Amino acid sequence: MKNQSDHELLSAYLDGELDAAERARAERLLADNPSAGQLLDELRALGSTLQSLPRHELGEDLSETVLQSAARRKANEIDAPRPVPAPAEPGRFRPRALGRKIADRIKDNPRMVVWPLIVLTVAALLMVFDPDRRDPGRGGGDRNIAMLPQDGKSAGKAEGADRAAGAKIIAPKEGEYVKPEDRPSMSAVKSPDVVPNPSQLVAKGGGDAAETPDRPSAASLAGLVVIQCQASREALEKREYRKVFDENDIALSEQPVGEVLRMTPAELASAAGVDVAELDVGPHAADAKPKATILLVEVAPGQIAKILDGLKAMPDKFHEVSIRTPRTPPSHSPAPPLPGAKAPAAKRVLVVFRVLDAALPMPAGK
Amino acid sequence: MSDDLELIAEILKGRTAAFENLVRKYQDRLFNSVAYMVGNVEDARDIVQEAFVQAFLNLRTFQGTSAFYTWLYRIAFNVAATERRRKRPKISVERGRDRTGREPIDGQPGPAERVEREERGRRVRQGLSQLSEEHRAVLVLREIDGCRYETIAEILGLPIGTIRSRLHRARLELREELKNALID
Repeated sequence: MKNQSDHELLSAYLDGELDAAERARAERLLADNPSAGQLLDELRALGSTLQSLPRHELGEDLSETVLQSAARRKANEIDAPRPVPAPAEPGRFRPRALGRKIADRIKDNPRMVVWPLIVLTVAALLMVFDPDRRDPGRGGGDRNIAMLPQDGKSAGKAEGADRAAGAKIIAPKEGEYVKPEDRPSMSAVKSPDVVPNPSQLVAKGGGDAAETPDRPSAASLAGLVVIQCQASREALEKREYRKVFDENDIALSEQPVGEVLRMTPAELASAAGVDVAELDVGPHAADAKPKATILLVEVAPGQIAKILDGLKAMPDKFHEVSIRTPRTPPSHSPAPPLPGAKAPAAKRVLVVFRVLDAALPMPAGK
Repeated sequence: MSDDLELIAEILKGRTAAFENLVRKYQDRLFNSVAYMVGNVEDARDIVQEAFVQAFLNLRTFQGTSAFYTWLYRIAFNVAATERRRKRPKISVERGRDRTGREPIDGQPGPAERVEREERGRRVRQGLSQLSEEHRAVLVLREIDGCRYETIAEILGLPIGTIRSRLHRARLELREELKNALID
């Protein structure tokens, strides 16, 4: 008895799984070959050993638990990813089955797709009907990057944003009208001859999200607290807001806000509720003529109220102070504390100043 | 088998309580095999329960071309395969006796014989645990559950010829593992 098939024959003979011809062959093998008989005895002993193993009993009736679990799963659709019964190939990925499952869930709960559809529709409409792109006359010079002053930091930043966006750089003279088709667009295709500095890309923005790795998604912008107010240009140039921050030990970021938050100007503007063309970002806006300035501060609990109170306490410099709190906490992981932060990092707040060139009207009663 | 089909027909008509009879009928048999298959009783209990839940939820797909138990066993094996990929064994059959399930039924032998049996059982379980999963599966199905080749082939989704050769190789492998025990 030398070959494997003889071994298997004896094994199957032991199990009574041979047809008549095979059984006859096995019996001849046993008669002619003593080693075959020895192997059969060993296999028989092995089988007896296994069959004599003690039986495990569950010790409980699973029937009620099973039916409850099945009913719960059916009713609440809490059927976590589980193997499908009796598949030919267990564990195999089945795109059709997955598709059917998703379709069933949508059928059972159609509302689950309503909000994503609304968001997509609004986003598409915004892309198509962007007023700055469609209507050159609307908004005037104070709403368009092309109308920003050519010299000064603000203009440089505007150009930085354009470069980052890959847009054609426009440097019009002050007040010069630029045709809509010549204006930079946040969705412009990157020009091959304009290679943005990576830090510019992150700090000052651009519309190409793929260029800024690890940047928080637009959804995470909703996690920022935003304080908004109107300010006189003089107050901003003198950085009157610093009094409020210094008196309350509030850390003010000295770095460009976009760089710290890894946001593009468009995202920052969106978070701040201002037009991107009005934007100047950072604490040093004294030599520029922006329409809006965004600062980033880090506050401990209770300090937001102090900022509000501090700004309201200077009505000749700041007024219409308001706050917008996030509906949901930020989804991205918190960044390290700002340099010089005296209190434990608790919350980051955007402070947005919209500049009024005219003298601020005194609030009633003041 | 015809009893099972009648119960299934009742369940599909809406009398879901009839499924309790199927659970009670097969839970211990399935649990015993799965416990030897996966090597720990806690996982075995969870797998058996999940197999029954899935069987209930997918009962309409059961076409009756095989025995209900074969179909159930196949579900249990798939559940076990998924669980095995997901986590490592927690408690072995050896250590799990007092944790879940009853101690294996062992007749009423005398103290010396009981000690000897327990030792032999321990070594066999140890030997089984050393086998590859595919070898352990065919051995458990054949020797512990008593399935015929055709049933094993249905459960594992393999040709009978493969079952035959695999079973023999599994026996030889276990024989090597247990050589000392068999000498006794």
